[in-house]
Amino acid sequence: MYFCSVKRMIRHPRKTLKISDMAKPIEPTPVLKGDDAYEFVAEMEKQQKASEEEKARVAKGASFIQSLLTFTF
Amino acid sequence: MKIVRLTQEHDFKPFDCGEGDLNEFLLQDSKQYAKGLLAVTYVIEDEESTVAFFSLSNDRISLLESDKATWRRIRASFPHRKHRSDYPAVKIGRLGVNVNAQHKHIGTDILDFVKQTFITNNRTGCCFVTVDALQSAVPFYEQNGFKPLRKENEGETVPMYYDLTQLL
Repeated sequence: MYFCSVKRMIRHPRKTLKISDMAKPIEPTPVLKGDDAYEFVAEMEKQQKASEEEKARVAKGASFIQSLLTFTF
Repeated sequence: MKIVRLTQEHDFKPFDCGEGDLNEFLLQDSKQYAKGLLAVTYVIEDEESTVAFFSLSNDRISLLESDKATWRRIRASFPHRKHRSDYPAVKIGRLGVNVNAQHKHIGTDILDFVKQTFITNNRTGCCFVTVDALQSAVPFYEQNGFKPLRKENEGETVPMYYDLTQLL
């Protein structure tokens, strides 16, 4: 049933737009306090550098997406 | 396959990632976010369908300045560190992969692209990637090095972050 409504939305996006149908908004990250704030700083403090293997893996994944770009990012 | 930056004229190809909220965001809301300069959506598509999409916006990780007791604790535990109450971040507002393209590492490749872009081409300064992960997607983000920002989370999403400085 949902899939049908998506199909309809593709054909007539404006006609089917309702507030109740809208996705949840993108919200800013909540402000940290108490233990959460302390733990965040503690995690930054003990954050280790990624291994060379991990850096290479990230670079490889990124280059795949980069190869698909039709614009300058 | 190609990636396009979403424009108001973009004609969406069929997309279903299995999550209603993500489908609705792409098909109904993403252009409004772009128009309002609130988030930019990038669409990966092939000849027949939308393979994946992701939306980026500016964000920050903030520590409540009025929480004096916590700040005293932080300064006492990490006296050598220069403390800030705000850290700039880039937010992955939405990331969805078509059900036909799932389990092919494209989601991980997108995260890697965001990480790499903001450590090599960081034009405005940002040291974290943030995301509000759906509960079902938390293991995926954890596998990609993201950590939860809060111990206890209410609601459907879990705020998570990735420290970009580990890649430098």
